[in-house]
Amino acid sequence: MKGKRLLSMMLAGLLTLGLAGCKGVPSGGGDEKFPSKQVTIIMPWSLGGGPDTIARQVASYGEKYLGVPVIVENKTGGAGTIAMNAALQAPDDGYSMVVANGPLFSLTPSFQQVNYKLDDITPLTGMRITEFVVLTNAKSNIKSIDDLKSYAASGKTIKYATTGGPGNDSYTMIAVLFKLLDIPAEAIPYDGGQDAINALVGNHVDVAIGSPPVYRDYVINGELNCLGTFIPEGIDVEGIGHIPSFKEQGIDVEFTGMDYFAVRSSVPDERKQILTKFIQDVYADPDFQKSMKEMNMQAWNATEDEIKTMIEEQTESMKDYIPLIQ
Amino acid sequence: MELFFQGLEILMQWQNFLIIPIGLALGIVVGAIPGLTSDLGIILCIPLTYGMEPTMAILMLLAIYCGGTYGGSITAILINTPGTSANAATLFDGYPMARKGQAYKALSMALFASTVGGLLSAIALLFLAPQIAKITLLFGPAEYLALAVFGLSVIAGVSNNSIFKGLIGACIGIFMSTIGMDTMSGTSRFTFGNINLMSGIDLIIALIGLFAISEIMMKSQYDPKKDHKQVSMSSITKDKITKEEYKRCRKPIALGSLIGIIIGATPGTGGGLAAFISYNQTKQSSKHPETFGEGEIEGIAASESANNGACGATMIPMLTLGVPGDGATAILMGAFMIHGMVPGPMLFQDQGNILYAIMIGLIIINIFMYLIGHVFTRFYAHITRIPYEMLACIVLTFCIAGSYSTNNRLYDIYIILIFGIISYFLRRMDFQLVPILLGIVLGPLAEDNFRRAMLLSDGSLRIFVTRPISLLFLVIAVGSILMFAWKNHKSKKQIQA
Amino acid sequence: MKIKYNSEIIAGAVFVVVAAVLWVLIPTQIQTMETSAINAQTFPRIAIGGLFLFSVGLLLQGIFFNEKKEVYIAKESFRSDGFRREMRSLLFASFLLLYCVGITFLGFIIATALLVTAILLFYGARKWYYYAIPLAMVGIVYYVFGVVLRISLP
Repeated sequence: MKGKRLLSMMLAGLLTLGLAGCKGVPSGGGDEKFPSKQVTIIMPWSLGGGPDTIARQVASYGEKYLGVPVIVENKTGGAGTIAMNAALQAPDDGYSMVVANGPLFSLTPSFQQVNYKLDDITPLTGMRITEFVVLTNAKSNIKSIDDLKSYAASGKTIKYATTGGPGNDSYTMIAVLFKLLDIPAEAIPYDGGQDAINALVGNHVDVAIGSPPVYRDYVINGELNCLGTFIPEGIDVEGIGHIPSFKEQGIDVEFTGMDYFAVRSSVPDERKQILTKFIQDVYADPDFQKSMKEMNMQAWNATEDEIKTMIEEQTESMKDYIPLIQ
Repeated sequence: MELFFQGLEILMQWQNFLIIPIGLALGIVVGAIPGLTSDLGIILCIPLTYGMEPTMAILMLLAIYCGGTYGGSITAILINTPGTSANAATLFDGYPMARKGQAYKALSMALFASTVGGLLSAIALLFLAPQIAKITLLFGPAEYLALAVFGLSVIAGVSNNSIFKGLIGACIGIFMSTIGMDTMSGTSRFTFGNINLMSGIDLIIALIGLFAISEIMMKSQYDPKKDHKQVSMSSITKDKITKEEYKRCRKPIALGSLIGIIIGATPGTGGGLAAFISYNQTKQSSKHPETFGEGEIEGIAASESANNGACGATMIPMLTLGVPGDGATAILMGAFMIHGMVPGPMLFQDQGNILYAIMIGLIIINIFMYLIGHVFTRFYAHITRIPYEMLACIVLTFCIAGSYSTNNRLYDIYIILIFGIISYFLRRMDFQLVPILLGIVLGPLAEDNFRRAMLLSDGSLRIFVTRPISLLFLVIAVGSILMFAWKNHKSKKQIQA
Repeated sequence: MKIKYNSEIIAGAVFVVVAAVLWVLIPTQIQTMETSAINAQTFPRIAIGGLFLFSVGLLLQGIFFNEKKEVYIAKESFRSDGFRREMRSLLFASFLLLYCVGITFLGFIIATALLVTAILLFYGARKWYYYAIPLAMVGIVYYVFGVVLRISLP
């Protein structure tokens, strides 16, 4: 008992010391002042992943630009719908932000019963663009889409690793790709991007879908080949060069993954502006830019309208894609 | 070799030696509180490390990780509740020892075994990482399934008298692990339309319900007037580990560390499984298996050396392949990225010196852990002197707060309390809780990989026996079940004779 | 009335029923769109089917092989020590269930303080500090979680 109490006090003491720097006293009390207490970012994806890392970086600037602590709460599962529901159940006072992506609106409703719609939220600022690429193991000698076709022509069913099950964006897009190529193929769903890439490196599957920064090193050191990307204009990756898009290779499929910060649409406008300005201030901070560069990531500074237009376009194109794979 | 010395140079700064004990102390505390895990400790401290040098930051987080894995054994021994899932195997003998008044001895052995396991694991990481990583890549779905089956075969060893009860427990556990959204197909399973069940039942929530709450309920028969034993202050720490006992534990610790390193280096498994397998193997190869479960010090040595043996080894696939070995390393990987190190095949080429500093630092962490743990053990042993009615209230408060903090929702509090009541009734009917836990831990590993393997093989079961590693695990699993059956049969005959 | 039983019979019977009910529920609770032979229903079927078979095994073992306790149910048995002990654990379980309701409406501090007091009364604790220390602990936990770890308990 003694020991335990002593220890919990030590723990309290240590953490208080450590956090003392970030514990802000809200200045002034008036009802008008926003924000006057801690702001929470609800995060639908797991700890340590790309969006989580960026959100935590942004949150660490809470004291500097917003004057209050900002914390990240992970509510994972249900392909993001659990976090979405939590965000819509939270009061619309602007103290809860949520990170969302496009497929939550364009894709998930086709696979699951959801009780939210795009109008329920207002995107504040973009977070990042996800560029999916399709990869093969260098040992398999499949270097291009044509190689893939001739490999399949020898009577083999291609096994490809995805980063999640149906309703997941990577699963849908690669399935559509094979459908359009008219190649017999079967999806092997893995838990997240790293697992899928690893299954490919270990030569357990023929093809895998990946997103940065996971695959980059393997392509540079020659273990994996890149067949193309879903971004319509292709991408340029440091150390690899230009990765052509499938569009450029004559296959009519395109997809741009994205994550963004949002709040409930019923939050007062001036509070939305304060939060948007906060995130943009962070994006402009040289320290933030430096650490993003170190992680090989880039913040995506898109506006509300840009994001909404993209989601609407994506929803339209999904209407063509989804029947293909159902 | 040059990188090694550069690394040593980076490590030899006084700040590093200051931050390691702080991290360890934090880790031991969060590990010891049921519901708080080293995962949470690491998450909470990541923001504190933003301003630090990468080496110092990672060392602090690693210290929390190692400290947490050891710290969980304290609760396992003293209040029959594993602090983290890695320590579940420690209860078998830890709690019986504490009941016999040997809490201090049990705690000391847990610390000693953890330290040795941790040290060997750190050394393996330092010298063998690239080789081990190559083996890890050979693990496909078939191998993972075989490993899960091997893990489930432990049930034969831990459900002493009723194999049916053990198997029922495992089925309950596997069933519970399927609740929620199926990751492979996106189908929701047994959620009864409840959105809270979509993400399934968290391992840590199940653990608190199964062990902590049911343990408190078991003690509802406790009568403070006659059951509370007054133990004098001095007698608690008098009972030290004898030379003979150290000698006896040599083999279990060596075996445990080895199993810990192998299982730890396999992504997606973790220290809990390592501890169970090690405990089982030690019991099986022992000349006196009947003393296991009754407060056998070798049991603690086997399980604690294995879970800390996994600690360093989980870093092997993380650093070389970018695949986290367990939950805590997944978070550590995030921390590496925040400090500009992207785990993967190029990390050793790009930032080898910092990596060497961290790997040598891991050895230092384990040495410090022994020193700090040694001081704490004296305090902890006195927890057994607290009157139970007070201890129950305090543990319950921590369990409730800890389970809420896992997902920030009330729902988890309901789950631990209801689970606790159900598992109390199971315990009253002589069910072991460990098979349930094994089912929960291994169910998803078995299911996902079984389905992946069947997709890869176009529905043929031959994939499990044509691949050598997979076949090997299955043979060991069958062999170990047969061994137990034979030994059981023999001991029954002896009783009859 | 005379009843013969042992824990195997009770547990076996309960789980046979539970498994049967779950098995029937599978098609409505797992609506998978997969067409393959091995799908989202496979593992739950294995687990529930196993549960059923092993429970039947346990039930048979209990009926035919293991020793049984004999219990005469009469008025006196409701006053026996054994019966009183069972009631105590049921009382404890009801505390926990009431707490579930309590924390929903009263919040962490009040509900947990009530639970702690109830448990201490249950054990018949007399000394004032037996109450003071655990209650203070509730406050400390609330403070440590809320202010320091930034997890605001309900």
